[in-house]
Amino acid sequence: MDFKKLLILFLTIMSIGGFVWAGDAKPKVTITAPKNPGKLYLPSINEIHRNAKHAGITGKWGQLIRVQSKDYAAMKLPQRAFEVGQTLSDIAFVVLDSGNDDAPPSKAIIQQAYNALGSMELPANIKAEIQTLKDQLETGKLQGKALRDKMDDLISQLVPQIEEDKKPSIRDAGSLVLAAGYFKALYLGARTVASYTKPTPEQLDMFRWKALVDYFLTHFTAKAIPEFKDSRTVKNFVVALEKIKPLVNKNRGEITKSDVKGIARALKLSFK
Amino acid sequence: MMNNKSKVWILVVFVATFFMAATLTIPSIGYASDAQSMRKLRTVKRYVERRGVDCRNRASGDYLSQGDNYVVRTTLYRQNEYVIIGAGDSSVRDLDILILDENFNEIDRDTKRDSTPIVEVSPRWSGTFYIGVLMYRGSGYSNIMICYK
Repeated sequence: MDFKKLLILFLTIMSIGGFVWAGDAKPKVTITAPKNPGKLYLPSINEIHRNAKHAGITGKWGQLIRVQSKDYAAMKLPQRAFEVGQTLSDIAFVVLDSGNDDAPPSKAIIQQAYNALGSMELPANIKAEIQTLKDQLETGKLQGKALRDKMDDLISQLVPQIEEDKKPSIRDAGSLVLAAGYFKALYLGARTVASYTKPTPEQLDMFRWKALVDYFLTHFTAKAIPEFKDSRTVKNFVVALEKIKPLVNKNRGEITKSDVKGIARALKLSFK
Repeated sequence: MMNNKSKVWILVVFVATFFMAATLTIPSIGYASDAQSMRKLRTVKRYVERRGVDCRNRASGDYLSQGDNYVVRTTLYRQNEYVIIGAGDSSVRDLDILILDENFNEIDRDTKRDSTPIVEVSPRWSGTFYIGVLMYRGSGYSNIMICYK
């Protein structure tokens, strides 16, 4: 075979290959259910608030949420973590809510967030970032959307670091902060929807929280250290989660207004 | 008849084309890592955030060989619109994301041949969903992130 023929053969093969490569026929590969249910990827508290807002149930939350000054130093650890989680969830709604993108948060709110975070044992790099953030806020360098983005960045670093911390008390405190944040939002939602004369099926389906309830029940009954597991704060919280478990573990369209009332009632003890 | 100079040039083109094709089809191994996958994911995140979405505070990921997959369980909420993004390191050629309901019925999937899949989905109900990550071609680290608006 001479060189010219060889070249033509090569170009022909490359062209065919190119057509095959560029074609749309990509064989479909399916994924079957694994033996274990897979790692749980937790939603963000902001996402839950956004969902509540889309569902039109947050109209009166401004009156329900009162970000109050708390004496965190006087609280022992499990309780302190639980209170911090609630405060941060409330602040997330008040400050990070997209409706407030262009409004600077009040200095009182910033101070509350700083006090709450500052009361927790945190990795050194996160503490330094929080201090920088506070300085920038006080000098007015960060406002509105920029503030929200910066806080999101901070939380992005904070959450995985706390959850994977080698010190069990930091890990459990972080989990309790997260849990208190999520379930404060659930409590507000349940309280609101339970007061409606006729909630819509979409509003009732918002309470299908099986995955989150299972995740935190497992953590605080099996994985947490005794200092947390045996504390009154965690025990009360676990009782509330066990009560709501059958109510949130229902199929689509099966959650009733009575179930939502039950959720609000069970969580009231922890979030009054 | 071709002279020797032409033959040399054709040979150069032949070899160059071969290496270009090889670069496209053989996964590169230099610097492939979880950190590299995360850097790519952050770039995709910045891209989707420009469209007014927010992303969850963390990513989820693992190492996969060709044909393997991993599954993460999550809760998605009706009325939120989701953009699920993924990124593989430089040795990943084609990474796919699949969205599955609680009974493992497929809701949506990415079909492109790339290492940065993006799937947009508006769930018709709130509840548990599974995000499947499939290493269609290549192997390496990949991470996914769930964004919403």
